[in-house]
Amino acid sequence: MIEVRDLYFAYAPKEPPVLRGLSLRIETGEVVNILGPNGCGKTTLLRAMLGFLPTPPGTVFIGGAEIHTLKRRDLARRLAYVPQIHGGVFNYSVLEVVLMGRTALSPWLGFSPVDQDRALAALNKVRIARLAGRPYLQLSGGERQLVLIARALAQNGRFLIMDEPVSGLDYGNQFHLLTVIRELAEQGLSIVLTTHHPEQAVFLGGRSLLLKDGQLRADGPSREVITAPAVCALYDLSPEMLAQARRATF
Amino acid sequence: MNKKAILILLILLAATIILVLPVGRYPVSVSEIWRSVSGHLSGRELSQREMDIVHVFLAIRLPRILAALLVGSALSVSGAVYQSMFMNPLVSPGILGVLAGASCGAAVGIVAFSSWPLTQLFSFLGGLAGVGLSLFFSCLYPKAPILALLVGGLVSSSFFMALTSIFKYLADPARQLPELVYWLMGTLSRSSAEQLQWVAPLMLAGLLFLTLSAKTINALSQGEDEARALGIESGRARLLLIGTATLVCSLSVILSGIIQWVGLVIPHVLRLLVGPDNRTLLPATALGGALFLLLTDTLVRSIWTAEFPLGIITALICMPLFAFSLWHDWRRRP
Repeated sequence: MIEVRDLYFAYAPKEPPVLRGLSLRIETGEVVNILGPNGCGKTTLLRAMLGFLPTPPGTVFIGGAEIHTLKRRDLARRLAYVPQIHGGVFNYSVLEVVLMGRTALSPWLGFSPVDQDRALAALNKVRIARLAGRPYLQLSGGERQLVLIARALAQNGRFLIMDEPVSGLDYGNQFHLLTVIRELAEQGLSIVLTTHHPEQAVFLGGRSLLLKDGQLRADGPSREVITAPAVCALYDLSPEMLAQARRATF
Repeated sequence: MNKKAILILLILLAATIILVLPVGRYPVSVSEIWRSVSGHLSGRELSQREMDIVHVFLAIRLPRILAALLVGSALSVSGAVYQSMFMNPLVSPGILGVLAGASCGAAVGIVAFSSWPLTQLFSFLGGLAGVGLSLFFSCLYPKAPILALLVGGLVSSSFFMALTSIFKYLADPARQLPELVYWLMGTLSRSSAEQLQWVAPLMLAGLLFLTLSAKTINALSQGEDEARALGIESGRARLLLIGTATLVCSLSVILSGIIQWVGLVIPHVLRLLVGPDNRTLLPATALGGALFLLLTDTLVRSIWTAEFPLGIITALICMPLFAFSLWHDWRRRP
């Protein structure tokens, strides 16, 4: 369970807060989409939940424990993080990247056969076992994202926290990846992700949080929360513009 | 872990050690060394020539070979660790100002005290001061600590180089200046068994710690947030690993003076050969660096009748190697 209680957060003392009095609770097994315009605090919220930010004491709890009282190792066993698509400097092989997900479970010496099995199982789960020996930096964006998801799965956490997992991918890869994410959710994994596309939140189902100006505007089942008026209000669109955009399908 | 690559390097290194044993001013064969030293160890009565061989081997040749192996490993492994820590394959032990600080310390020892043991101690303290100054700069700008540390290293290097120049300027040109300049060029000709006795255990412990931390180093090489998400207390781990790498190269300065380039080029070349995974890369750079420095040191002590500074040869060999590895790396990029 992840719990946020009345969280105010600013990156510097004199700057206006990015998150302004946010409270929410995410149970295990849930799929949670976080939506909102650029700069509304989506990524900051994710980073706060991962313990990357110096949040005030008593505002973020993981499994009932204050996040800053938990060791990184213990945190890594509960929460796995899938960053936005990135390059990296060193051209590790795909298997080496996925094995990094096992670091918290055995920080010294090499990896055990169990670690290797878990890494391969994770690759199989997202159906990219054939890429195991390939250099990571030579993969396409969609493949890289699958590798990072496999690494998070190898980490064996209850929660998968993803920062805009499909941004930067082409149309086909977006849906391929969303299907994989939906399958993982159906297998009982808790998933928290940020997205720019309301229709993707509807596709994934579960619950949606609408975030604007660092405050929660709506919180509920995706199909109920994501309505035309709510989307208009969230992104400052006129009903005509939204209608036009929705008509432009094929 | 690529065990085959490690095994090949291990065999190459062992073969090279045996090959270079007879090389030197005092002509002697491997079998003669074996007979004399085993005789010496078993307490057998030795002939005059055998006693000479034992002396040359134990007091001169063996320490020098061990020093070459240790210094090569120390510079290369700490270079590889710095490269992963700063997520930049182009940094080296020089980046934190360790070598500059150590050279400055050496200058203090040579000019102000004219004492060899004090020179060693000061060079070590100088290395620590070099890192300290870099870290101080990184604390001044906490927003981007990694970048600030690199800039701090640059500042620290030029600061200590300027200080060294003052000592060069003040040095007695007949006696002190040549010694100082010679040290700055890098040489193994001064390494002795006593030095090794107190430097080697610490260096080996540091190298072992770094090599065993390979998985943590891998995760840290992916960036701050990812390392933390993978379960690593990144700030503390980074500090500990950088500190150990710095200790290991400061100690290498005591044995050899300033040898540039090795810490940059050896990890870079080996990364092309065995890949970036530190579980293989760190043992491979340890062996590769040892092999490289042993070969170059054997070259400088056998080609010319007068001893030639090792640092010059490593720079001359490393430069084209580095150019080649950069070109090769660029060509392979997607």
